[in-house]
Amino acid sequence: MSDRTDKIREVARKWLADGTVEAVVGWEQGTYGEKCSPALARTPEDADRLLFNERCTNNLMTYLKRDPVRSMAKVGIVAKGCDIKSLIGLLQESQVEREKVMVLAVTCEGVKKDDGTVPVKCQACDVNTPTFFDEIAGDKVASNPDPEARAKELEKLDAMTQQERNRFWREELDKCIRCYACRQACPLCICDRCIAEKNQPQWVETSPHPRGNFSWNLIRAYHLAGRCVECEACETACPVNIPLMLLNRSMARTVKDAFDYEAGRDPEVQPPLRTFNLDDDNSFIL
Amino acid sequence: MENIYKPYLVRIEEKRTETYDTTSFKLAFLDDDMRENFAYHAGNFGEYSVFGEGESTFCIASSPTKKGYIECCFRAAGRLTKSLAAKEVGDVIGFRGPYGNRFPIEDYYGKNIVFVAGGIALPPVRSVIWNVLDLRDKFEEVTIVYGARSEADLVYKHELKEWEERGDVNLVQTVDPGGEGPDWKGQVGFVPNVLGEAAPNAENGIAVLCGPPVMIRFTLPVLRELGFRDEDVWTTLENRMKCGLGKCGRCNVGEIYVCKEGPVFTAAQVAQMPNDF
Amino acid sequence: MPHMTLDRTDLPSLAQALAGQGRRLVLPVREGQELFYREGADPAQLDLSTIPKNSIKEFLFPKCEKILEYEYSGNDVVIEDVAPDAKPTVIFCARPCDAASLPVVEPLWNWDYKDKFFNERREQTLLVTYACRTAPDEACFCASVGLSPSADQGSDVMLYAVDDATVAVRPVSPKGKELEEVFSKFKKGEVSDEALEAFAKEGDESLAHRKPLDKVKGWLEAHFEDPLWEEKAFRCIGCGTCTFLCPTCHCFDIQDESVFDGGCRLKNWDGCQFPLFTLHTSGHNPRDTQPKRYRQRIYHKYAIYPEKFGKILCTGCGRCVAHCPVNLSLYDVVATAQERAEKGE
Repeated sequence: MSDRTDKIREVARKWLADGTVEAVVGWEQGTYGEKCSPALARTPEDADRLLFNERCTNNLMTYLKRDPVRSMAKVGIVAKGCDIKSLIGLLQESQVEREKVMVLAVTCEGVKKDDGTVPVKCQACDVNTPTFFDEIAGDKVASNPDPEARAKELEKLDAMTQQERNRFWREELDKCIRCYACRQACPLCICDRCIAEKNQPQWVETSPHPRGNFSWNLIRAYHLAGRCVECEACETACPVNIPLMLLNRSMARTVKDAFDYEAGRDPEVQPPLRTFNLDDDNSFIL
Repeated sequence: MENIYKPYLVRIEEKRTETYDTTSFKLAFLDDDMRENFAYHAGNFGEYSVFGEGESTFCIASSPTKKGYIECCFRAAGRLTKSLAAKEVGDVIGFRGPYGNRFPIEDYYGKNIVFVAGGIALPPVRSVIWNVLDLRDKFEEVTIVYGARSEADLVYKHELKEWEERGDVNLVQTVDPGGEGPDWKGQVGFVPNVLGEAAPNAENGIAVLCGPPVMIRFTLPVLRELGFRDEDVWTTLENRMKCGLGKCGRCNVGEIYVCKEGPVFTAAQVAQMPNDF
Repeated sequence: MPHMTLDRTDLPSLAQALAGQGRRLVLPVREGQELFYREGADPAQLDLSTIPKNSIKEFLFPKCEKILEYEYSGNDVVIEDVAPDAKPTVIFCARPCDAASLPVVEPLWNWDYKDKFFNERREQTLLVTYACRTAPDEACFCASVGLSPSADQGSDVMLYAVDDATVAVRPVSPKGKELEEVFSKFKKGEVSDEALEAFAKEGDESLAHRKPLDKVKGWLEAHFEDPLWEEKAFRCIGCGTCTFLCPTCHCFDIQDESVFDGGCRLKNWDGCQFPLFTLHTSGHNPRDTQPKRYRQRIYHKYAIYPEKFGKILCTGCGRCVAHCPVNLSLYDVVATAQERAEKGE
């Protein structure tokens, strides 16, 4: 792992020294246990704080929608394969210009959550060695995805009757406190003014009661359908431990079944819910 | 224990369309006792409700010397104000208040007063104007400098007429260059410039100033040049408020809660505030 | 003076007994990898292995609370006052930092206008606090804000796990003293004051590395425009986790919700970390960037609230540090301010 850190620092230093980028967004040592924290390196000296290890869990692409990074003409971002998938999503939707982002990819064997467990995305990962980048840090890592990892998650839902599933989601979503951590952490939740923040008319009730929570979480899941790359930033951020990935993965499976599409793979292709084809299946309407 | 969030019910007795986007209401409390005894001071504000839409914060635009009703004036800019603007005479809305601090009118006795206001900022100043005019002999010279972007943007036009016709008030109306209509008889020029030309007496003087931030920024130097001290220039600070009770945590400017220690401040106090408003 | 002890294994029964007197029961239980205070949880599931992820705030200041009802008929409106849903409650095995949050926020809820929703719930709530023998989490810093792992502020009864099998009981408030009879049914023995003092000392030592933050207010008041905010808070994603998990954060929003002719007015949790919080209808926002909003958070807790009410709006529970998804540690920020103040910077 330390080779990766050295390479990241080397590249970041170079990009900052020769003005290729205004800043590099990466990770640095955090202040709580072994946690790592997002860092903004603006000078070559700052670059020496950057590192990479298995606790670099944050998806840094979420900073593209926020100042100061949003206003920068050119920025470098250190990214794992899963993070790059969300960048591809942003590129598909023309939310970011390719020229703006210098991708400093890093090969990755998987990260660990705060509780020491390995996220499902890492178990299912096939982008351990990213192919979309400007520079890459680390030796090639072979991908060994567990083909059942994502499906296994959904077995719990599949085993439920519709009534049970309804009750399950009502109980889980009742916990929601409308902190919008899910939305803030998500790199693909990019609306300047979220639908939940509009009040003329009030599309989504802002109150954290069951009806409002159901509204919000379902709308968010729908807005992400076909776009979510399952980076798990939302579920990781959620302070009340709602199993958001169950919802998002379920939507992703439906999209795969209906459109044979997986998000975050090819920047040249449009997500299926953002476009149409004349020979789309219409049988569900009839 | 009483419910501090519960509004009084008030009925719209009069509605006036002041401009294309500004409406004023005269409101009467449904409760007889409240109507007789509701007391407040110039500078106080309230939370006006449309049940089902929410609440919004405006000053009480009438003077406490007038009994039996309160008035407000607002621009239809957001969800609540648009629904308020659609209300008609006879409709019932909610009112919570009076909140906030006040203009210390008694400290102005025996002094020369100049009122300076721009556009939609006349209502809070109007409350003080009428408070002063209703006690006219307690004060020396009274000057009012009021301007807006254009003639169409002037509010309380019928009262401007009234003040103009009084012999004991010097009213100077102005519109921004280009804002004058063919029959415009007032001045043409920005409020700070017109104020400078009007040159009200600053000796033993008080200024009451309200307007958009840009107008305030340019008016303060003019007042200083005329000889007004910052401690004698009184203004109101608009900030986003919600509860009006010092609890929701929204309105503070540094250590000052605008809903409790404001919205009336002197220019001297405002100068001390951090850049948090 | 002697303090009664009971068997640790009797704690669930004690909880049951307190609930049995007509109180709803709130206690910490495990859900997956973390603990949560839950209403109506099974006392047999009582888990004291660490500090719960949520605070007790939601039981006194719910995330969504009705404050008014209204109904239209023609031009007229009828409004109905709403009684706070305040039931007798026992919060069993709260942590000292949670209990201490109540006397901290009480002055605000009673600043001139008395909020009956908070007050009635507070009055109906019995706080049985489980003192921390040692700080349960690396993020804890109660000692830095004038508290300690065995602080009794806000508590009605204190419980001290003096050893692995034994829990000492010390009533603190008149409400707590009234319960002697309930507790005495479980009495197994006694310990002395010295035992409790030794317990407290152990807790203090576990946080000896947390320095008092007594100079932060002065530094903040002199450094409103400091680059520290941009430096530290660029990484803040404005997610609101710190605000909503914090036991002392109390900012709220008021919302109306109608169905046809009637509806209710609600008081919901809100936070200064959200961009809409201070947004004017004109479009002007005094706190238009995240560093400015983060600065407000620190100021409110460490300068404004102390100025107004003489207390820091923080009990050092560490949840904001432990659960911030980007590891922006509030403690790190205020400790930096303290350090700079001490150096005279």
